[in-house]
Amino acid sequence: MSAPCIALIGCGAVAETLYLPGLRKRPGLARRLIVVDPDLSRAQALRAKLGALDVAADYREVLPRIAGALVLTPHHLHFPITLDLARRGITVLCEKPLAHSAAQVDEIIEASRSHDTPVLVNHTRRLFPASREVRRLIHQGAIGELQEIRYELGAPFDWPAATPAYFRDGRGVLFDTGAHIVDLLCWWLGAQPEVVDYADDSRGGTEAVARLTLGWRDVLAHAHLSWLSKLGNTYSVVGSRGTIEGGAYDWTSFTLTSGGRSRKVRVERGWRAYEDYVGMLLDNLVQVIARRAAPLVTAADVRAGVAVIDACYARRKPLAEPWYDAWRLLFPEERRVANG
Amino acid sequence: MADRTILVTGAGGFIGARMVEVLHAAGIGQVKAGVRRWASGARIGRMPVELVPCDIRDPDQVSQALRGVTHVVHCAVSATDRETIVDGTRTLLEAALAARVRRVVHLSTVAVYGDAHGEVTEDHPFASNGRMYGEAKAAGEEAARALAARGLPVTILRPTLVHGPFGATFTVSYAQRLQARPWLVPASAAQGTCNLVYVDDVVGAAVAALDADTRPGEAFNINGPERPTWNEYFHALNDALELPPLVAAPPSQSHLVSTVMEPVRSAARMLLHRFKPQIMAVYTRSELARRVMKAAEARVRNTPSPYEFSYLGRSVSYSTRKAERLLGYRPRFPMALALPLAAAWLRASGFVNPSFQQSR
Repeated sequence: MSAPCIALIGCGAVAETLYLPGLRKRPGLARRLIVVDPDLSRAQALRAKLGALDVAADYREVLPRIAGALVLTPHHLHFPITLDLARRGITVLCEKPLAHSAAQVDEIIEASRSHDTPVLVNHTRRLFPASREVRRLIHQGAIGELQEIRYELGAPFDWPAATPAYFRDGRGVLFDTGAHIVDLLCWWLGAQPEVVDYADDSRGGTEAVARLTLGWRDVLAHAHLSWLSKLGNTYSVVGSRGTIEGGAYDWTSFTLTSGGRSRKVRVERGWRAYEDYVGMLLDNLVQVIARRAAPLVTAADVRAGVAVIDACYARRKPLAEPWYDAWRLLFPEERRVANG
Repeated sequence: MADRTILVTGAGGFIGARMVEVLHAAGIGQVKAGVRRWASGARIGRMPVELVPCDIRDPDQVSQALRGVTHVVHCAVSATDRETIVDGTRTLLEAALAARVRRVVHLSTVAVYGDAHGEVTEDHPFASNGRMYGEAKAAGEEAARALAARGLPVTILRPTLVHGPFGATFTVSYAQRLQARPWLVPASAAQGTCNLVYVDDVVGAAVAALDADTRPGEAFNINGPERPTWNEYFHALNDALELPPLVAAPPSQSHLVSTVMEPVRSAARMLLHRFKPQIMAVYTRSELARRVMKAAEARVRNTPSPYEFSYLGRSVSYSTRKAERLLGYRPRFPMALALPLAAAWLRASGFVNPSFQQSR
């Protein structure tokens, strides 16, 4: 019996940039793909690059032929498509963010459970050796009682987006890159923290800079995210007896300070590209469909992060930006309207 | 105001994005934010304005973007591509004429005057200093005037050195340099005129030009309210950033480093142009390579070029009397007001090293 088909749904920048390299290294998997996009020319182009089986404009056209699906669409479609597929018994690997709210994640979890259909989520940072080791050290008590975590991640947005969807949802950097970081904070804490403070730079649209503080027991976790400028791109984890400091793009090592001494902890030798971690998820999807492995990251795993992000948006307040508001000095009072 | 729909080209750029922010926030009209790539939409996506694809080299895209538009502010530009500046401007303005827009404001630059000296008014002849940008913008103005002669109500603005939040050249770059000691610009080498204009004043001038019933093709210098020396600007920015006092290296050392660094700068540019993928691959894989490249990049960035020394010493003042008279232009952002705003943005955006500030 031949291996079942898998739908690759969404042929935008995520598919082209993150998944294409990994799929090219897995020609057996690529040949089983049905490439789906409402823009059939994009689907055809990606099919040609992959040597994929077929194309379609709508995933619903190919449901009888598939046992699994990669959901790589714009963010707002992740939830409805994943839920629909899970309810039809099709195993899904969905890009982050999985959903807008914990209630939506619960619907997916329920569909997954009642149809015995695993739902996997791409939270690559959970796979990084450094992230895993930091979590282990925290929970092992290697730095004493956890006190504070700081994470900052920012770079000018330069994603080769095929559509303006990133800026039309009203949810920006927190929902996008923040999905990784908030999930990581929850995972390290081993809990769903409360939102202590949240502010962003939305002016009625989609935020590009966000600052948040989360609290769990006596621990505060701060994150600073930006689509507009390059930040330090570092993290620090402070405990009562030590500190862990690392780079957001250093996936295999960090610095551990304990007992007054600092040392570099190299968790893994060698080097892997980001796409290699996506490749791990692709392999996991194939194994999960064949019932030979458990999912690396499930919908239930990411529920806390989704809930925290939703709670952040619920208490959104504007960042103080005096340079933005300076336009008021330009015009006499009578020209102003409420837009500012 | 409500009957206006304003297309801003280059809406993802430094000036274009601020134009969109202010036009929207102040309710000057409905704004269509034209971008060449969706990736440049992050800053303007913060407001509920319409993002439209508008590569000014593409006549079909431009015509589509101009649908329903009554006014245009043309900010799109390229630092490296002459065709975008010249042919793109012509394409946009041809389409604007066909669409019968009521007014186009075309952002040019005082670089069209070349390396001018003394008091420069709008009738000063254009000159070349051998740099692509000024020459291409001069050609772009010629295209605008040709369209004006055919009836397009276009107003040309020639801003001086635009600074402010998100400004890479005169704000970010100098803020970074001020933190990289030794400071390699001796006071004696920076006595030329610093014709800075805050980005919001450029926006104010554009709004005034949208309103003013000036003759098609009329051009206006747009400058700030002061004419400090470059040295005064550097010290004022240093103070606004609360950095330790500036102590300049001796002139002989500065000029020597600048001269020595010039071939390094050219070689780095050439290597990056020809071997960028390979260089980035090494950069990503090797921590040592990353450290070396970052240090080299910082050294090149923080060393003034010989050309820079030439303009830091040049005495020139671009007059705004014509803009004041015909547009009612009033620059409202002197350094005392503008630099704290820029500094606040620089700090919030991670451009200021907090430990350096604390050592003050």
